[in-house]
Amino acid sequence: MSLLSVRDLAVSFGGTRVLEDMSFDIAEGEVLGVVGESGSGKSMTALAIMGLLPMGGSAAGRIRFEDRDLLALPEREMQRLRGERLAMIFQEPMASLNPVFTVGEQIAEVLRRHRGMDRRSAHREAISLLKLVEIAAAERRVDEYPHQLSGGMRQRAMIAIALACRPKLLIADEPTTALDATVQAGILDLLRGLRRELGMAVLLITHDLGVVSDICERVVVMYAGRVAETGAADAIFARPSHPYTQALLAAIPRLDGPIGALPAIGGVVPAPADFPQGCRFAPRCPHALPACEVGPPALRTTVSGTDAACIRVQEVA
Amino acid sequence: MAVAEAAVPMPAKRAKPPGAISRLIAHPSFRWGLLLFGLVAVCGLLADWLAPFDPLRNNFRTRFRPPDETFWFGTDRFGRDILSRTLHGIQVSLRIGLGVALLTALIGGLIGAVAGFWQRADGPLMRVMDALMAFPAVLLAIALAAALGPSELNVIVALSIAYVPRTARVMRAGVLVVREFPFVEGARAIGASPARVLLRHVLPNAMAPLVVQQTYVFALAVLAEAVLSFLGVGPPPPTPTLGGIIADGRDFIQEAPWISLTPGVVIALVVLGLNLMGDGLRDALDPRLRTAIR
Amino acid sequence: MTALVQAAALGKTFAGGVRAVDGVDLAIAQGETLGLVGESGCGKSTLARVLIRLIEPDAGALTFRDRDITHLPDRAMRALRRDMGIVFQDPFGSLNPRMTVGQLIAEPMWIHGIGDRAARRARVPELLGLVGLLPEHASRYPHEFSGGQRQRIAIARALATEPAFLVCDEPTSALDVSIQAQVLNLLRDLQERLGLACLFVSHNLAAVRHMAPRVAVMYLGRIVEEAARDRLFAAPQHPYTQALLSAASEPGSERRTRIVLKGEVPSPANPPSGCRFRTRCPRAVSRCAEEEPQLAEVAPGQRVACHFPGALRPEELSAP
Repeated sequence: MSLLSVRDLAVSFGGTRVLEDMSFDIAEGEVLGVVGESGSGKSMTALAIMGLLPMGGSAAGRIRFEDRDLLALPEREMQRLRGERLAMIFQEPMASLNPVFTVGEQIAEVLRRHRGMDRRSAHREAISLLKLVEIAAAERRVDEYPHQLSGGMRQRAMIAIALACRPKLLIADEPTTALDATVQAGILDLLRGLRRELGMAVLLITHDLGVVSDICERVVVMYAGRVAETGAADAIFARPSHPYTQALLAAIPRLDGPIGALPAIGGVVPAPADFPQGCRFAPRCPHALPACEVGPPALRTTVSGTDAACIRVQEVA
Repeated sequence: MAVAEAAVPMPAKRAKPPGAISRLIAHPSFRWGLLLFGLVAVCGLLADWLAPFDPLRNNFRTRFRPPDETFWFGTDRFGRDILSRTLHGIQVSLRIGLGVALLTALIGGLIGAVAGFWQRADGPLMRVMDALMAFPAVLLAIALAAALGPSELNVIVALSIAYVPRTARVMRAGVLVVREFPFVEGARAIGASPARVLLRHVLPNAMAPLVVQQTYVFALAVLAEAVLSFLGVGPPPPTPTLGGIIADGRDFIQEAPWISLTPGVVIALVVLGLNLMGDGLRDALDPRLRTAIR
Repeated sequence: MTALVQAAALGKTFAGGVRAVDGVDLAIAQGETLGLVGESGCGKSTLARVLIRLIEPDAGALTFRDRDITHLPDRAMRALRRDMGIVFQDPFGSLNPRMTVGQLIAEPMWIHGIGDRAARRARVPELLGLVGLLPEHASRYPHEFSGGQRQRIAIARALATEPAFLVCDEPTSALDVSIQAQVLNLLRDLQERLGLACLFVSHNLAAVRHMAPRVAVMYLGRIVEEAARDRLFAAPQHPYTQALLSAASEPGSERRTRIVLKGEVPSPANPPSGCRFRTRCPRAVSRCAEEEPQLAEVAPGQRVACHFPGALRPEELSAP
């Protein structure tokens, strides 16, 4: 049974649909990557699950988490769920940490509120959480302010806050995008380790296919508010079936292999107001047929075992 | 080839996001402000035609008339029609308000731009502004008006000096922000002279807060002019000014409240209208809000 | 081959004692592209700006076309900018929102008095075509374009005066993956066609590999390794270069043995004595704290600033 099951999720702002027909499951302890470019709807997916859509946004569909439908849950219960069973970390840890409280106070606040700890034991627990996220000299760092920490340490502190209540699902929205490669590698290692140790599922939202391939078992590739392809990470990276996934993987410069003109994807990612009628990738797709413009293609199983939203997937893959 | 890639699937021309003007018109508080202010301003502009009586002619037979069908808003102790005096007073007040708003925009804008752009000039210029700001604006204006003598022009000059620091500060803050934008570095990189960087790249992008600020300065100047006239250092009598009419009615506030009431209400409407317009402008020109809408 | 741009012991210290660039030697030949990689805070963007004096150097010497420009007066420097261009990272902030695309592209020509009004106006569509945009885009404003298109506009503007040297400071870092390849291809194509000398600054090793036949690696204000692309990516000699390469994650490729660096990047205001990398280096010994290694040739065309260059052995990697 899956921990989180999202069915036909759609998010709109006014009359503009920025996300639709989004369905996926996460099993307990699984790491799922949702990858896409700007405007793909990946962040909206995360915010819809957390019930934190920006003003004017509304979600439709079903989001079932541990037998509860999150979209139907009253705000008060949602608040309790956030932090206790569901936690989220963001791209910019400095913006998510309160600059006037020490890291320890911010972790302790969560512990006291959700786990009813007293001041002293919350402080102790804060230190052990900082140790859990591998911050060196945790006893000293716990009393420091966010600005005294480096970018990587701040993200670790954010993870510590997120872990305070041992959530079943951690949603990480571009957790390493603002970090350097050597620091990013450390954070990914940490997430991998935590998930093994705590049996926590991770929903990783990112634009970076390298990060996805590094830590995710399954991947949802999104394009312009719809799922383009989904399946096992190995299969998607070894034999991508959707023309978009293929083109995206080909367009990334590599550390080995031939050097020369990159096979770029022409055109631009459409804005939600300009989403095409049919397949959203069709205007940029080298394999597009007139039939592609009729309606959004359904997901169909491919030879490599993934599901791709492409009517020509048999010929293209 | 690179050329073909981008040129072919260029998206259809996207509907332009609404410009500043249409956002302004759509803004309720700006609309109300414009309506209020516009109504009063038009009355003032057309005072020569609208005023039923000569605002300066004394008539002892009609002294202290309460509002009736001849004198809609009553008369004062010289028998002058309050409506006519108020209409002409609006003209004077708005002239002074506009004059102060424009003069401070020019001088304050220049000082603020220079202080924000050239760090070396910043310290000295802003210390002078701080010193000016330490005086209460009205007190400074009284002193200047007393020294220069009472006249409309002197009131404009005095109030402008008093309000220049506010404008300069706003302008400086705007320039300091815009100066850090990458396109300013970009302008230096193509060899633009400092003057060109300031005039072509920094100032056009730093004007929005100044425009907003000047609507508030306009309102402040209208108020301050009333205070100065009330205190007797405004344009000299018998020139009708809103503050002056209120002052005329001060001694008879019990017996003839209509004398002070009419210009008082007009001042309130003008200031309210200007402030509402300022709020609308602020929202419409605020770049943060604009991105939020998009 | 004489260098177009040459830096000798170039340095820049900011207020607060931050030594962003410290004793950098490098040369870029006419028509050559040099890649510059490093992590945030290593000083690569500062170095890029110091090379075209958008930031004033405060140590060392800078020559451009064999002319010492370290202390060139402002007016002469402004005139010289005709031969230099820069493309910034942020496509949203780097174009004045109140100017049309046509005005933006014509401005550098106007400043340097190139052609008359009609000639400049005629040149705008040419430049737009060069970067893959259409002539009718000249009358539009930057906000009507996507990030990738804006970056094309920025490139057209930088190339308007036909410079000999183009600095690209993370030109694709803010762009979507599918757009990044377009812009990289465009830059490559232009560099070849126009014979531009180019400094390509990026934190993305793979992008640098694609763009530059020669690559320099920066750490804490200094260049720690410089080599031809094939050498640098196949046989990096400095431990930091090796760590950087091992940390890059690529979709679908086998995970390399990762060299996890200990600790954090030290503050550039107070760099470690001796070798700056020693606090995080798996190979550091006491000599590294006492003596600062200088860039020295370890193989033809490969210079490394390390007392003990060479590939890290497996036992060195596992050390905590």
